[in-house]
This record gives sequence, C-alpha cells and structure tokens, in this order.
Amino acid sequence: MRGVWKTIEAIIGGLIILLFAAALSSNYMNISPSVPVHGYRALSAAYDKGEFRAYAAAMNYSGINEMVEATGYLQGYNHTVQVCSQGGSCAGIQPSKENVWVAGIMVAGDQSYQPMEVILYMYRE
Amino acid sequence: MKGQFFVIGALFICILLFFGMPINVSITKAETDDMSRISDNLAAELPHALNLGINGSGPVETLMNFTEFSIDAAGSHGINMTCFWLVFTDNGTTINVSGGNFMGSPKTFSINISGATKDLYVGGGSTNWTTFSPSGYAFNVSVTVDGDVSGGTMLRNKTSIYSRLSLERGRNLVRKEILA
Repeated sequence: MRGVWKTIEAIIGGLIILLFAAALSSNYMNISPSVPVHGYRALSAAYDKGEFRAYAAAMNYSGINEMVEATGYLQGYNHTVQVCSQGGSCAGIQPSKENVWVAGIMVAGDQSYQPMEVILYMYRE
Repeated sequence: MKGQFFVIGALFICILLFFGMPINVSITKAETDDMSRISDNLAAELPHALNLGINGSGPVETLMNFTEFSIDAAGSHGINMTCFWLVFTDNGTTINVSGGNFMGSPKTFSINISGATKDLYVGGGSTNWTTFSPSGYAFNVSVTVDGDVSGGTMLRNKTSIYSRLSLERGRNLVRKEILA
C-alpha cells in the first residue's frame, strides 16, 4: 500500500513540474509586442526591399500592401495601406472601423525628391 | 496516513498557485514603443533626402523641406520631433557648413573642425552657414548645442550630414545621432 502512495506522489510531483513549465512558457515567456509594433516590423521588412521606395514614390499602395502582407507580420489582422504626399493628398484606403492601429514610415523619394508617408492601418473584424 | 496529507497539501498549494496567478500579466515587458523605429526610419531617410537634393534643387533646401515634412508626419503620430543638422560641402579650398535648426527656438552652434572653432547662430526653423578651411581628406567635427557636445569624422570628398534628432511623446523620449 505504501508503494502505491509513493508512486502517486511521484506522479503528482512530476505533474506539478510539468504544469509549472507549461505555465511559465505560455503565460510568462511568450511576449507579444503591441499591435503598432507588428505594423512597424512589416513596414521595415518591406522598406528594406528595393521596390518599396519606387512604389511609395509612385503612390502604388496596392504594391506596398502586397509587400507588407508577404512579410508575414500581419497575421491575424486586417490591414490597408495609404500613401500620402507632402501636399496631403493620399492614395489608398483608410478603414472606417472602431479600433484601428496605425504605423507609418517616411520615404524621401526614389529617383528624385518626392517625400511620402506610407501609412499602414491594422484592425480586427 | 501521513503521506496522504502531504499529497492533499501539495494539490491544495498547486490549486492556489495556478488560480492565484495573474494570467495576463507578463514578467517581461512587451515592445510597445514605435518611436525608436521612427527614429531609425529618419536616420535612413535624412541622408537619402540630402543625396536627392544634391542631384536636384539643392541639398540644404531639400533637407529643410524633408525635415518639415518629417515633423508634420511625426506630429500626426502624436510625436513632437525636434532636430538640427549640419551639412558639410567641400568647395575646394574651404568646407561650407550649413546648419538647420528645428529645435523650436534660435540656437547657437559652436562648431569645431580640426581645432578651429566658430559659432553659428541659426534662427528657429531656418538655416545659416559658415566656412572652415581644414587640411587633409578627412576632418574631425565637434558640435556643442545647449551644452551637449558630439560629433565625428567626415570625409572631404563627399557631402556629409551630421544630425541630432529627438522624438518625444508624453514621458517617452528617443534621441538619435546621425552621421552620414
């Protein structure tokens, strides 16, 4: 009888250790950055590629939208892209949702000086 | 019978620990600050604007325009951006130093190039210039503004920029030095 209890105690001890390890890894160590940071990561990764600057200068928001989508940082979020010039004219879609997170990146121009801000809107349905 | 109480006690402690744990609170702080990413973006784009200006309507004019554009764009993200920059252009025998001040109020830049010091007064939101005559293909620059001293080494055969920018939102502050 004593051996049975010893075995049960050992199992419980093992379970405690496993549960602690699981709790630590899932609740305490898996840190998710804030939503705009996901956006900045996506924009930065796209910005590092050659076409980004040309797309921004041409106000090609759909091209940039494809680039940020391809980075994989925006999984779980709906998103739209807008490209705005210095004069304030914008190409692209600004979503009319209740909670929208925004990330933006500035581009001085491509072949000539033509400052643009690329704005990434993120939201959840 | 003594052992069973230990088991029950252990279970009780486990239940207390797991139900008492603040599940949504993280030990490590999540990355929430976007300002460092915006400062990285500006550190890359200010020299790019300068290069586009060299091939276009002039480096100082272009840089001034881009700085104003950046201040407006940062403002739309709730960020108060202030900065100054110095552009170094080789004119053969002299180095032309143009300063842009976007720090909100007039400033005097104490510029030291390879041992020679000059004060450059620049009004808020405007530019001014001075000249130096250093020797050699590279020269050391140190700039003192509001008691802060910084600088670096510039090459003579290229138009160079030195800039210090500051992004501020609430109590968060990011400062960046750009040398290109």
